[in-house]
Amino acid sequence: MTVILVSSDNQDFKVDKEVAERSILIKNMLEDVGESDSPIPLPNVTSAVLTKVIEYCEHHRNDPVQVPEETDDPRKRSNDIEEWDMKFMQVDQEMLFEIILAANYLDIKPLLDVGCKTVANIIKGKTPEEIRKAFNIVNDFTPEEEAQIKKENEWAEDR
Amino acid sequence: MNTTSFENLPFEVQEMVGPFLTQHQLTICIRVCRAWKKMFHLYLWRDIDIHWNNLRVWEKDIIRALQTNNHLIQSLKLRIDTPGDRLRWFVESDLPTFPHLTSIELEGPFVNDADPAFATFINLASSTGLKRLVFRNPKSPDDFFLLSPVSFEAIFKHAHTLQVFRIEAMSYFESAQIDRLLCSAPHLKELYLLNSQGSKAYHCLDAPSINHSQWVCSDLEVFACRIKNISRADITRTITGLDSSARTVSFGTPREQAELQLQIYAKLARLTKLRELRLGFLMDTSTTRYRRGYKEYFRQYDCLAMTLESGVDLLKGLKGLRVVGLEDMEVYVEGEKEQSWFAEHWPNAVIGTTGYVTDQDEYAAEEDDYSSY
Repeated sequence: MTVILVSSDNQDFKVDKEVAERSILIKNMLEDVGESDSPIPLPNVTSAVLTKVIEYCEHHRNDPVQVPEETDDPRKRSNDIEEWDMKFMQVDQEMLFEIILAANYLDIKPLLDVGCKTVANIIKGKTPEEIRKAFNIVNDFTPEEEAQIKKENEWAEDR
Repeated sequence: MNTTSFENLPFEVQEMVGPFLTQHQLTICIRVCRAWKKMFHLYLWRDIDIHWNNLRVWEKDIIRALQTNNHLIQSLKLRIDTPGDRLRWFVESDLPTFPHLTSIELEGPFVNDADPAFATFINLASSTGLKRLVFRNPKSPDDFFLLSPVSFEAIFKHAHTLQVFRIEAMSYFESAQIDRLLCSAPHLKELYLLNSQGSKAYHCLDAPSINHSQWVCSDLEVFACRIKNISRADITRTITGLDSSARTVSFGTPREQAELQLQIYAKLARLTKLRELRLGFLMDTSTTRYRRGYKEYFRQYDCLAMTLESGVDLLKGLKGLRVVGLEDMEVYVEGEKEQSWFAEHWPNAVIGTTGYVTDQDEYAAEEDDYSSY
């Protein structure tokens, strides 16, 4: 069974139901409307981004459903991205953030996680100035303020 | 068309990056700009890992920062490198209480005198109950520290919320204390009280006194604690180096022994969510040197027999078991009948039967090393 997804720029995407249901949003919508062939409009997602998202869902169509686990460790790892996902995420920053936005909107938790891990990996190993440069952020601290914050947190060593 | 940047992602999406950053990366992130400071400061302090060393200047900063952010901290890990009074120094440093603390992890070389500081430290967790308590002593696995009744009571106050209780160190709680915890902690998922060494004195449950207690921890997934003092008339063995009174388990009749074992099996059988069941002890061969006869000395003779005759079949409902530690409990667990029973009923479990190498040849090869004993 297939469903038709319509991007914000009015392009139709015909995908297997199983693939579309990687998105919890779409899964819930399909459950609500029952058996129906009417296309599903996704006004927040452009065709370029939807193409990527569908590519991800196709690849992960057989993954077991993620059970939200109550982990002991509130820190999650960012170095466990699988190879295919890593390659999939090799896009420009704008597309990366678009994918994260779409994953959030469509409620695709594993994709959202991979997106956040990718951002975390961009941050990793950089100085504050390098991070600002990477994300085009303006420093609104005075040098004194920044030095103060640095001093207060020097005990947190790198591990 | 607007380009999408990190800054114009919704706030709730931006902050999802927080959990994937390490503590150090978070301290860098809070220096980027005011918005990032506001966002990541919370993640930095929610889960804090302090490596307490000798740099007093940092220690002062840490204490000040803890005083400012105490209400944000949910998880506190303290690692101490040097033995002695470091833990006491820390707890006596004008620390605030932590109203939302749910997880405490202590790692250090702790020695005997650390105990009053333990209780003080645990009592820093004020209103919400602790869910997780972990003590580790990786730097000095052979150092014994006694946990006093005061420390136990400090821990016991959190029995109604406690999920993980793990001590990986040479320490000691009495059987009655452990049993009381098991009877009072309905959410306990992990009870891990195994020392790397196996002498009689350390953590264990006394079978005759626990057989009628009512354990409430039906969610228990990890049970790692020895159960001892089961009379074993089936064992007649000479233990090298011990006097005759220590060689045999003498109390009780064979019938009483059989009944006691059945009661203990029935007790364990109710823990249907178990993933890990360790009743034997693990010897850490990397840190301890052995003499000939040590295995006999440390081997357990007053434990569950884990044989079909003794009633191990009562445990066939524990289908989720992945790890079963029976190290040095008894030779019979290596029997063919038991092996095929394990394979049939615990298909996914790894059964540990020997914790360390005792091959005579190995000893012979190292004979010279031990001649100094």
